[in-house]
Amino acid sequence: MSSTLRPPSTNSSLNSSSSSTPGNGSSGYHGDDGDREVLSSEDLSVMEDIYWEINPFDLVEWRKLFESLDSREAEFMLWACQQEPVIRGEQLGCIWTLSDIDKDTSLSFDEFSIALFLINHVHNKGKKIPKSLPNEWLPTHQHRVYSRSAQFPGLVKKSRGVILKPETSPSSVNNSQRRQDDAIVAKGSGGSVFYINGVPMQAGDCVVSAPRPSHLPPKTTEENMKHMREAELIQAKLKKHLEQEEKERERREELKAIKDKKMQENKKYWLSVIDTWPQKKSLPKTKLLWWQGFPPSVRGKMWELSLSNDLNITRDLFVIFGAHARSTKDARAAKKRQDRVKEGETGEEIREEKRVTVEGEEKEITNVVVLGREDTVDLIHLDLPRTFPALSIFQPDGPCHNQLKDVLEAYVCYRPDIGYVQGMSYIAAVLLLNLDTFPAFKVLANLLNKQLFRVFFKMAQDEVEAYMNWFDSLVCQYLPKVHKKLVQMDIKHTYTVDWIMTMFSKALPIDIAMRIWDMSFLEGESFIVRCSLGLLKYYSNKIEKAPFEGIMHMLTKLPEIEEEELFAAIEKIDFTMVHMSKFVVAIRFWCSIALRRYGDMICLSL
Amino acid sequence: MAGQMRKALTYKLVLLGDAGVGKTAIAVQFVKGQFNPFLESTIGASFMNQTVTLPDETLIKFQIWDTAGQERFHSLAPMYYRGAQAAIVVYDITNRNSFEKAKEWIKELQQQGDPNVVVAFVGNKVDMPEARKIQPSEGESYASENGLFFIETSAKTAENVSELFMKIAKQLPSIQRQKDITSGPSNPGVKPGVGAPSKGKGGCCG
Repeated sequence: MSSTLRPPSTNSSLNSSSSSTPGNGSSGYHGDDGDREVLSSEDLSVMEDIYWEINPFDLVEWRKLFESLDSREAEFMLWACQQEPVIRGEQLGCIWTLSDIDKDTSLSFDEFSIALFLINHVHNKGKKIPKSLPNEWLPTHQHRVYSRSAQFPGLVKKSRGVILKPETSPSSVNNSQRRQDDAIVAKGSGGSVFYINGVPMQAGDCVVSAPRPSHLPPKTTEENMKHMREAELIQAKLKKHLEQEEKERERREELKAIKDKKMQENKKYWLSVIDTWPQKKSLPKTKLLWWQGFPPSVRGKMWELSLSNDLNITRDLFVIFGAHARSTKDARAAKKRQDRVKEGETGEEIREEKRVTVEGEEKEITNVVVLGREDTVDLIHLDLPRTFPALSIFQPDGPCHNQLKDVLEAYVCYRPDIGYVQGMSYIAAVLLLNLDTFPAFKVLANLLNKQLFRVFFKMAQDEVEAYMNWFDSLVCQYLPKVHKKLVQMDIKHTYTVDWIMTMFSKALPIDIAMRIWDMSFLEGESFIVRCSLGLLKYYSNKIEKAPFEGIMHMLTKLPEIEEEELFAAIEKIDFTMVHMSKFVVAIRFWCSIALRRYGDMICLSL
Repeated sequence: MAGQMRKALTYKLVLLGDAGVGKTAIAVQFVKGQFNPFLESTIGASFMNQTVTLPDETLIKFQIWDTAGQERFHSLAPMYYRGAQAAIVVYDITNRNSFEKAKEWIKELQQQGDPNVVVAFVGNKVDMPEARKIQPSEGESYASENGLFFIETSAKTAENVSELFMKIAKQLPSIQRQKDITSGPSNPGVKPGVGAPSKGKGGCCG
């Protein structure tokens, strides 16, 4: 019971923390002269007996306590009696008199902390209650905003305010009216920044007005009133800000709850679709629900069903290429060792030792012929830990590390003409988040076989350039204002490379990206282009006004994405596979020009 | 001139080098003062910007294009280094292959890039001295042969990272001034990076 009053560290910290007291906050009480009575020597000894120091950890506990309690006199006394029956009523009375500094029969948090400090002091040591508080703990001017902040270690001074570090200040704005003398105390929940007196404040910071430095003259009443008004204004602003943040959070949670509920309802339908595939594929209801995205539990299966296995990838094929990948890797490792020996990097003796093993392997090495891009396997190992690093599941110790490695390595051996290209790890990873290893490989192989991906993963300059030109014409057609601005700023559409090669999974939040994937499996790769245009539409107003850096920031970081608004923007772009077919024509056209342009050179080089 | 107006001079800077040498890490360390060993691999390119103040109060704003390192993305590189006033070619001091690759980038820049481009030849990852394969002298001699400036950095410990950009920044305005002198009294405060090069792309708007 009483432990609420005494957080575990209280005793030791009260006794030992004086060494960490900053600046003027030592146990001294000789600070200000004041109009207080002269203390007797006994009183002085009582006061010297106390380390006037509050541990910040206690403050954290006390803050919670303070929020949950009624701090008016009667209620507080009753609570304290229940908590600490050892302390006599008159002692509590003394403590109250000392603590309620402004005599408003209610405790501010500062006063509350003093009360708890004194209660702990009496309870733990059985010592007398001092007759007064040290000067540093008292407001020295009648109107001065009171704060003990300087006494507490762990406080950071910023300009005119003193900011409690977030971990020591779980305060809330709800109580701010109760402690008017407590200046400004605030706490936010999000990561936003707001400003007080021009000082940037992180949400979660706690502001307590700084005590007026002793070398400054006391404030006039007018000045003080003005400052109080300013403080109130800031407080009101802060409150509004926090309320808005809270509302926003609630709104998001509400939206998420609605979405989750909808997904739960849809799940049944999707299970029936899976059972009767492909009969229900073209039903209007299916298409309508498809637009809302798949529930996570059926997503993988739906992806697998909706992407036809044009390449006839079989499980055996996957196993064979997996084995092929391993042997290639071993051979390459042996060859590397051999090269190292030839280079003579190692010492004489070690070299001799290695030569023996290398000669044994030499026969094997000559058997593996590497003509394609199998050597890109090395890059896979570099990229595995860098794929969705925040999820920590594809890193060397992560649960899906080996699966991702197997899928990518097998793909490299299956398509040595393409090899591994950065970006693939993201696509394979998203598949593995929803599918087992073999189905993931099957879907990956078929997906990357689509025209759009073939162009990008081959990265032939002419073809990519052809795509960029074609996409530019689309932006001009669908979003002429955005196009004008981008041309004016000389921004090429190279930002789309990242979007396409990871299917938005790197640039967008993963759940939004997966919903885009869902639609891509319905509409085909045209949806990726449609979504690219949709993103430009989503940001169109901002793009038209932003400077170069702002636009680049938007297009590369895709900040502040609202899922439904984005999908509303995408919906307005009328773009389907029919439009996409023009792309093929465009590619052929551009490549034929390129061939004409470079034809002579190719002939010469042959 | 521009310094008194406190107007930032904007320059386009491109980071080139093999995959995994730490291009993004250097840029992130410079821009945000952070290091993350598992930065996402760069696909295509990414964009960042940062401003530095020279001792003479000139503000230099860098538009940093951080390119993808993989060979496959090589075909995109010209889009980024064309029109760049500065290039940082990075290699990993623990990886000889990346050193050779860096030399290739230098050659390409010399042939295809802007002749006035300021090029920094950077050996990264000096926080791993035990794995070092390329001695500083080797990088230094290559750089001096080719008229580049050489520096070894660690994006992890931030060693020499801001020095690298400051050094580039110091070289840039002088080049700009030289240009102004040679090309007559054109306005020096205007950013050379953004809209200047290759305006005439036919486009589709007609």
